[in-house]
Amino acid sequence: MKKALRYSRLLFLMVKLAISEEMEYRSNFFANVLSTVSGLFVSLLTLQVFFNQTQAIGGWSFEQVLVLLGIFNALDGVVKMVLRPNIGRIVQHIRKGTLDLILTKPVDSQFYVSFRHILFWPITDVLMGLGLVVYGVLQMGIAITVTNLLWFALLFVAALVTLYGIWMLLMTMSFWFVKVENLTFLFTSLFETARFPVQVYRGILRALLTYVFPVAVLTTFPAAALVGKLNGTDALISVSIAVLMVVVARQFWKMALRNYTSASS
Amino acid sequence: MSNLSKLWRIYSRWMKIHWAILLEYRGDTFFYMMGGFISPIVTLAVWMSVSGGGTIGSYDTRDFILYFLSIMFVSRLTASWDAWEIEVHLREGTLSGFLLRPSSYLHYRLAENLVYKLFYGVVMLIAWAIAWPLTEAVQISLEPLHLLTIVLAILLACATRYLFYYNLGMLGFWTTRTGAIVGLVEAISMFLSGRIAPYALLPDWVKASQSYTPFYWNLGFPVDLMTVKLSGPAVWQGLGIQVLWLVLFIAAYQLLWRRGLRKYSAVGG
Amino acid sequence: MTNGIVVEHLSKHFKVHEREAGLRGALHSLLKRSFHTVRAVDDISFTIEPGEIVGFLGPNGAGKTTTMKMLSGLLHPSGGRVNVGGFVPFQQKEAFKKRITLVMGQKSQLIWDIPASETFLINQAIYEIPDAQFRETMGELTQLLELEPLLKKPVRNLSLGERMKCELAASLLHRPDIIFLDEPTIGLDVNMQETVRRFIKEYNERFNATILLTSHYMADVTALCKRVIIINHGHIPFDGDLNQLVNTHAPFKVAKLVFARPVDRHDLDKYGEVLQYEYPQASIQIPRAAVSEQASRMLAELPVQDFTIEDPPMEDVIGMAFAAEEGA
Repeated sequence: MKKALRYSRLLFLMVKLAISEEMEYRSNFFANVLSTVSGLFVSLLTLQVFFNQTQAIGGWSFEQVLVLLGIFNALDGVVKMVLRPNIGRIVQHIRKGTLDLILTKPVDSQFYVSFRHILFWPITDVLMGLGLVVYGVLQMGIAITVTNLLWFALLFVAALVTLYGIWMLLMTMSFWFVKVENLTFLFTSLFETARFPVQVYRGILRALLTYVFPVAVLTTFPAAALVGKLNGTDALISVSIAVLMVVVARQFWKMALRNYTSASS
Repeated sequence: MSNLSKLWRIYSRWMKIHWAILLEYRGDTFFYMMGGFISPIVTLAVWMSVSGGGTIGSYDTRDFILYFLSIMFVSRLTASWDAWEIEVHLREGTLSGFLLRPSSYLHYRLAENLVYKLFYGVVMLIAWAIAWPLTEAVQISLEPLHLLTIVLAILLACATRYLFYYNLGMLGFWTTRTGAIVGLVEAISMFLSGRIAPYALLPDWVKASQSYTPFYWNLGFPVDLMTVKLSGPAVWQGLGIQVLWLVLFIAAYQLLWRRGLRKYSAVGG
Repeated sequence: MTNGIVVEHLSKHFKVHEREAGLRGALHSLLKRSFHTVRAVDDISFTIEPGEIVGFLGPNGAGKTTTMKMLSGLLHPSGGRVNVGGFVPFQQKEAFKKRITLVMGQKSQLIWDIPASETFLINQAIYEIPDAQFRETMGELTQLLELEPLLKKPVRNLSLGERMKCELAASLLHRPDIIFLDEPTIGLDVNMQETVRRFIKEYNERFNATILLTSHYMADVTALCKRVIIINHGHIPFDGDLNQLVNTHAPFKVAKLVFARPVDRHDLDKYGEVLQYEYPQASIQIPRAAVSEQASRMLAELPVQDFTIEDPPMEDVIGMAFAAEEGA
């Protein structure tokens, strides 16, 4: 408990550091708002094209997909804020030997490399995404119960944890891959599949996107919780995959470090 | 003649080098290629789900599959990453090293692009050939004139799209925000190039955009040829429009490069 | 055809956008952009004869690199004239590019992921070097720089010094007769610095190449350059013989003595300025003209066990030259 407190205080400090760093580059704020708005605009237009031809995609109505898209945008904001700024640096740390410096710090190395560099402005993506969620819910015109909200909160946290787990696995792979930009590129491309409910995909593809690269856990299940489409199995899958992901990511990181320390000495 | 043989020599050596780099990073190259395929697959999945096995407009299931396979094929062949590379060379001042040598920077960039395109092209053609006997979705018409127009359209699209991004990259002579500009253009092109849906299924205002933006001609048009959605004079007219855009971008290249160098030599790299 | 370098009243001014700190500053600068002009190079003139090696010295930001970039055609001058080997550099003619080279210690033209020999082949094609000449030059460079074991390794696996050797080879393959070397020895260890120096000297003698060199290491300058040009704040306060620079700004030598038994410090004052005395060692600064006279006096009058006379360290001389200009 004391440890959790210490690490949340550290995280808070890193966010504060990010904010004060970025006050120096205000124009980035406008650039970010512009790219968020244009991205959102394009995805809404895209939905419009699909819904011109049909009433529902994979059993989801336009408003329900809006909720899902909002969650997607919020998660995308988190990727930009926390995950993307850190991934490239592991390679630099390994090349310049500064990883050794991190390993000697009295702080968990995985925590440090995951959260040391945070960008603050993509918070606009998170806020606009959540705004879209609220808008979609209001448009549906259904009453949201407290149970729905609680389920949503739980599954949204599971989504964040899963996202982090996937990302950490990729980061750790950069011990072996030299051009890590391409790993990021691959992740971004796979993440694109989360723009739509997993019911859109059929057969093996759906299984892959639920269990292997669990985009269903990222957007479909939290959105389902909010719009009232959730069933017990989905919730169970969500939580188990989230737990599994962090555990696997943790073990993989430890393995990579063991490999690294025995190779570099 | 000696100029030509010099150029031949420069290209063959640059290409040999870029090939060596490609092999060195073959894992990454493979990842990059696969990553580019995911977005068309997702969009295809959505269309299959929407159509539910039926027909939308003039597109049935087979049409949708062929359409998005063609999108993958053409967009991989026309891809250009030069805007980012040029930005890095400008930011780190490595462009100077190229300017000091008696050979244009363009040759270096172009040679790299050619190597990757040839590699992607061969890999994808092999994959296509393997799929041929397995599914009739990939069996396109092999009539020679039709094939010729497809090849022409893809080559023109490659050249135009390449120069388009090259020109965007050269904006780096004046601004440090090339990345943001390219991002915005990418978002627009996502919609206007036919990546989301065949042009026939897009709203009218998007269809209208083909008369004043290059996006459709760089991707949608060659794909429409592959899926035989165009015929007769429209084909030749389209090729003509592609040539017009190419000429325009060549002119823009000349202008931007000359102006850019003047700016670069005024403030230094 | 003139082969050397002629610089007349050369200037380079940059307009710099001033921005105040803070939000108010940012808003203010949006409304009213204020500029100020930096005179990186301000009306300098010099001539370098073919085959000469000249040291180009000055503190960071003095205008060295800006001048080098103007001489190699990367930067367009704001004023004045430059002629390098009969060419106007900023016209960037191919014939000009084939005669010069610019080596920057901190920037590399070598391709990172593959062996340096590939970069050599590229340069052969770019500079249109005939095969026979390429083989011959390559052989010479390989021998002079001991490249043999390096040619097969990817550049990223080479040490800094090894990379510099390959960089030099890549830059000199086309046998340029005008060479700009910007900090070629930066970051190298002493042995490697020595190798690079010896190579530059050798190349200069063999091809009668004109060389302009900047370096932070005085050993480079004293070993290679008879003549130095000093640049500071975009001006040239000194252009001339290295020995003359020493005579002007450091008209003295330093006698270092080791005594057999302690002497009174006051007894030393009459020979010159005592820089330091701590038994058994002393160092005394003596005006050049009086060196031989004072030396024989000291040897006769003091219990000297060991005795040497040295020039003041080059760093100090240059420092004094800069200081003299600041004061002027």
